[in-house]
Amino acid sequence: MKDWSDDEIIFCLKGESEKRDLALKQMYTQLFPIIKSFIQKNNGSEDDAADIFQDAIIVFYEKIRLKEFKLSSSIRTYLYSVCKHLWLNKLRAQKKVTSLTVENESIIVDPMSLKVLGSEDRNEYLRQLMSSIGGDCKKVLIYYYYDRLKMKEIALRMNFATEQVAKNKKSSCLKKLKLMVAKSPRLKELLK
Amino acid sequence: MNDNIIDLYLLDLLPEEEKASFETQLQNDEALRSEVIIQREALRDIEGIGRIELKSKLQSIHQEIKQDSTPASSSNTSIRSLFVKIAAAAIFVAVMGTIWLMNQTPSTEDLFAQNFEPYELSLTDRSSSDNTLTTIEEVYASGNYNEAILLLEKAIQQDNRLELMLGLGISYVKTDQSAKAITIFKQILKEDNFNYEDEAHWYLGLTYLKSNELKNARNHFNILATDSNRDHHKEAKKLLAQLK
Repeated sequence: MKDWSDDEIIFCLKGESEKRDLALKQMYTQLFPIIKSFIQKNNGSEDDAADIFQDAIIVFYEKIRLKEFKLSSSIRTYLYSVCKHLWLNKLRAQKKVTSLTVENESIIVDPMSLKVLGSEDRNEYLRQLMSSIGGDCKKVLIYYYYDRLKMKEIALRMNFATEQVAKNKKSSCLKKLKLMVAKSPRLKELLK
Repeated sequence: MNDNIIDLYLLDLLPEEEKASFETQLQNDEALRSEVIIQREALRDIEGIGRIELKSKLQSIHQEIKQDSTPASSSNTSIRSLFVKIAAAAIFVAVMGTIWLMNQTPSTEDLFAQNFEPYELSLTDRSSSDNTLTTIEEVYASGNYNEAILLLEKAIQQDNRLELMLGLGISYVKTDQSAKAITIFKQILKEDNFNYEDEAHWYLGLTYLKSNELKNARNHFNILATDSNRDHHKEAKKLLAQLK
């Protein structure tokens, strides 16, 4: 299969789910080998490379949803830079770091965007939350807040008759979630 | 309090002025403050859940790709090896076919001519009393594209329906105004309307083909060819093979 252009990838990542998955796969085939070789040159395994690369894609995905985000380099350079930072952080945490062998192409990445997945405890809490809000609510909320899809698109994917149905569903699901969140110990702490 | 305004505030989508006034309100209203804290936490949780799901999606892509690149092991059943043989035979046929096609070397003009069929406009199903639209349909269908352009350009000023834009783009192609056609097809793509997106990719690809910009043409055909759910999927695939 021929490589996709950056524009195509971004276009499809913002689009419907099937196209999104296809674009993710494309990014994987086109760019993972580069990251794998970088991580392997720097004391990492293939599994480390996969983990870092996946986190970098998540960072990228969350960035392009934002209207004001403009990609100032190629996707390749962007991901390479994010991976470099993520891997450096990980090595530092394991106190293994020396200096990295890198290709001479990277850009400065906002370090705030580099915390990807939370602790195991936090993830466990989220998984429980996920199963208690119910499948449809989970989908609608993720489509709206995470994928930043328009209501019209959400209605289409969820097979709702109108956009208004999607809006109402989102509101009621958010209310439900807020009730659950309000009971969490973490929140009691925050509201003290 | 309205969840929506809190949403907009938390997603940083409020205009500066409203944001400032909302923040003043926050200072003075304790109930609103805790509402915002709860909602912020809820949004963080959704973000976290979204990440977990995306991560697991990526992990399964990883497995899939890994499997594709590992050669079939000998422990696999004979059905699998039969599949491999059939696939090999199919590839052989496809390769021979491609070689045959390459020997035919159709020019880009031939390929364009073989594939370009004007999109059929059906504008009047919703408002059949609309004379303008009926006229546009007739003029366009009769192949009088110069006149169709005049009518369509005018109609679009009042109603920028994507179907009208598509018709205009095609009329431009038909009257050898490729640059204008390209601009308008791209405009359709920007609308992100998946009813017309595939058509726009298809005609954009063909227009590039006509102007011999093969790289651009391939990009658009590729989008259609890699997703079997799309319109013009098969044609795009075939065309790509012929272009190689």
